[in-house]
Amino acid sequence: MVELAGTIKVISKLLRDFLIAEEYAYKAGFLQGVDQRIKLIGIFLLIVLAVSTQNIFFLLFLFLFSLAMVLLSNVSLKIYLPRFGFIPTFAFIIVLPWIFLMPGQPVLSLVGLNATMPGIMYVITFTLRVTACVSCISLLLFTTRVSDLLHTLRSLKIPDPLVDMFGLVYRYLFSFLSELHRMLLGRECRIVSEQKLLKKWNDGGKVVGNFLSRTFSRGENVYKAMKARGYDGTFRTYPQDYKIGAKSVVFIVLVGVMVGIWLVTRL
Amino acid sequence: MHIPDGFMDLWICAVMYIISAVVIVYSARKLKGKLEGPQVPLIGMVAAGIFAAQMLNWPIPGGTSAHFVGGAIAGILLGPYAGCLSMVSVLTIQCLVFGDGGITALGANIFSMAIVDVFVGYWIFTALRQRNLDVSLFLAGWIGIWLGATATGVVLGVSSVFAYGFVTTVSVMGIWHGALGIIEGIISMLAIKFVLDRQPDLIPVPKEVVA
Amino acid sequence: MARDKVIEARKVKYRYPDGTVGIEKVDLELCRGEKVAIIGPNGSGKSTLLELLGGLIEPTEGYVKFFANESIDHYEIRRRVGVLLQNSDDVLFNPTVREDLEFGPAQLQIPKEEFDKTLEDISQLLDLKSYLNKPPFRLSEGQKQRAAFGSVLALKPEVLLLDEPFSSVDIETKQSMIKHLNGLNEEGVTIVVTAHDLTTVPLIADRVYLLNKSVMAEGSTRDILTDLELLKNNSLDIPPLVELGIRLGINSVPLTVDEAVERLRKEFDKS
Repeated sequence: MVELAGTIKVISKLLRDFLIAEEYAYKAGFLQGVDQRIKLIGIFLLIVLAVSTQNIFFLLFLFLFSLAMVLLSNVSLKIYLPRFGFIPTFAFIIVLPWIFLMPGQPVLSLVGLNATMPGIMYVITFTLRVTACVSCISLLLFTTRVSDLLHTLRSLKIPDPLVDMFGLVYRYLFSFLSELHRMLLGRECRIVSEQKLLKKWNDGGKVVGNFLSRTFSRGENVYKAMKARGYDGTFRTYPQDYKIGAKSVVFIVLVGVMVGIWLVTRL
Repeated sequence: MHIPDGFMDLWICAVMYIISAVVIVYSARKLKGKLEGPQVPLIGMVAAGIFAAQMLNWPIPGGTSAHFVGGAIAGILLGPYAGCLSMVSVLTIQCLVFGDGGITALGANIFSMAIVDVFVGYWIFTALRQRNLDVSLFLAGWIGIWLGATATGVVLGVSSVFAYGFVTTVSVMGIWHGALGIIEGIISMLAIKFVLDRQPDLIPVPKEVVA
Repeated sequence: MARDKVIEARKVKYRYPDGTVGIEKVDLELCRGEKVAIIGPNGSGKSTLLELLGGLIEPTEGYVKFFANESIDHYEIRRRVGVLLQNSDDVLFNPTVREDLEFGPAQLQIPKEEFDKTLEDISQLLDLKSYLNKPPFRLSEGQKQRAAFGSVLALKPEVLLLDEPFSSVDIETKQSMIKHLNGLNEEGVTIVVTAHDLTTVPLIADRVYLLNKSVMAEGSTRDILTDLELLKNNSLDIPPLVELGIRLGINSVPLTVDEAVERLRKEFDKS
C-alpha cells in the first residue's frame, strides 16, 4: 500500500487550496471583473516581462504590483502568500550556492568560502523573479472560475477537443480523488501488520490499476450521457457575451504602465 | 518535475512551446476522425484518473516518499497520440487551475512529461512486449520518465537565467530521476498488468507487431 | 383509434463487446402518452434496454423503430427522446450546473432565447437557481439528481427514458420528481422508468414490463405487481403494501398508500 497518511495530506491540501481559491473567484473584486481574455493575456504578458529582465527593481515592483492586485480583488494576503510560498523557497535554496560560486569581488568570507557581490545579486534576482512570476499566476487562480477559463481558452482558439478534455479533467478530478480516498481507506482497514516495502508497492500498483480500469468504464458512461444530449464530436456552446467594462480598461492601462516601466529599465 | 516560471530563458520557453504545439497538432491530426466518438471523454477520464493517482505517496527507502507522473501509462493505455493529449490536459489544468508548473514553462513541461515520457514509454512497450511483458512495462515507465527528466535537465542547462551549467543540470536530473524512475517503472508494470488481467483486449496488439 | 407508436422494439438482442448477452428476444411497444415501468432484478438488462430504446446503442439483432419512421435521423431522435442515465455523476459532465443544462440545447442548436426561457423555468421548477454556477462535485446527491433531471428536461423531449431515477435520492427529491413526471405526462410526454425497487412503480407507471434478459411478463401495473409467484421467480421483492393487502385478504389489493388508506377505511367502516 502507498503511504496513507502522506497521500491523504496531499489530497486534502489540494482540495483545500482549490476550494479556497474558488471561493475568491466568486467574490466581487477588481480582477474578478476584468474580461477573462484580457486578464489571461495580461498576466501572461506580465510573466513574460519578468522572465526577460535582470532588473531587480522591476521584479520587486512587479511583485508589489501583484500584491496590490490581490488586495484590490478582495483576496486575503494571509491566504494568498502561503499558497505558493514553497516555490520561491525551493528556488532560493537551489541557487543559494551561487553566492559563493559566482566569480567577483569577495564581500564576505564564511568558513573559507567567499561570498561575492555578483553572487548575492544573482540569488536575490533569481528568487525575486520566481516570486513575482508565481505571484502573478496565482492572481489567475484566485480570481477566475474554471468554466470562465475554459470559455477564454476557446475564444483564444485553443482547439475544441483539447478544451473539452480540460473541462472533463477538472470536472472528474474531484470525483476520482474522493473515490481514491475511499479505496485507500478501505484497504488500510484490512491491513493489520506493518508491511514490507515491496509488498506495499505491489499493493499500491494494484490500486492504481484497479482505479485506472474504472476510469475506462466511467469514460464509456459519460460518452453515453453526452450522446444522449446530442454530442457528435464537439462541445457546442452558446456564444458568451463579453463585456469590456471599466475594470478591463483600467487593467489594460495598468499592464501598459508595467510594460512602460520594463522598457525604461531596459534603456 | 514541474518547472515554475522564472527558471528558463524566454527564447527557450518559446522554442519549447513551438515544439510541443507541433507534436500536439500532429497527434490530433493522427486521431482525426476518432476524436468525434467516445475518444474525448475517454481521454479526459484517463487524464483525470492519472492526475488523481499522481497524488499517491510512494514510500521509498530512507523515509521519504515520491509521486509518479504516469506519462508512460497514458501512452500504453491510450496509444501515444491520445496519451499525449491526455497528459497535455493534466499539465494544463495543473498549471492554470492549481498553479503547478509555470505558464511560460508549460511548453517545456508538456515536452518532458506529455511527449518524451508518453512516446518513449509507448515505443519501448511495443518493441518489447512480445519478448517479456513485465520487462517491457517496467522499462517503459522507467526509461520514459528518465529521458523526460533528462530533457528537463537539458532545457534548464541551456537557460542562462539558471546559472548551473548544462553538465550539472543534466546529470543531476538524470541521476535523481533515473533512481526515482524505478518506482515509476514498478508502478507502471503493476498497474497495467492489473488492467490487462481484467480486460485483456483493452490494449490491442498492433498488427505489424503480431506478424 | 390506433394509438401513436413512439418507440417499438422487435426481437431485439444485445451482445456486449466482450461477447456476453445483455438481453435477447425483446419485443416492446410504447405509445404516446403512456407511463411505463421496466422492472427486473439487478443484472437483468434494464439499463441496456433503456439505452437501446434511447438510441444510445444499436441492437446486435432485431431493430428499434422511432416514431414509426424507418429513416429518422440521429438529430431528430436526440431532440425528441430524452435519456437520463442512472448515475448523475455521469450525466453532469460539465464544469457547472448551468453548462450541463445548456449542453443539450446548445448541441442541438436550439436558439439562445428559447433556451434562456427553458433555463428559467427548469431552475425554478427544480429549485436549481442557487447553484447554477456551482460545479457538480460541490452538490449533494439530491441536488445532483435534480440537476441531472433538469439537464434532460432542457431538451423538452416528447419521450423521457429514466434509468432508476429514484435509486439514490432523498424522499423530498423523489416526491417532487414523481410529481413533475406525472405533470409532464398529463401534458402528453411519454414516460419510461426502470426500477428494481417496486414500491414507487405504482406512482409512476400504468403498465409494466418485467425484464429478466428477455421480457418475462407484460401487463397493467396491478396485474404484474400482485402476481407474487412471478415476482418471486424473478427475484424481485414484493412491495410491502401488496403483501399487507393480500395477507389481510382485502379485495383489490392497494398499490399506493393513498389506496391503502381508502381501502382500510372502508374495511373499518364495515366492521
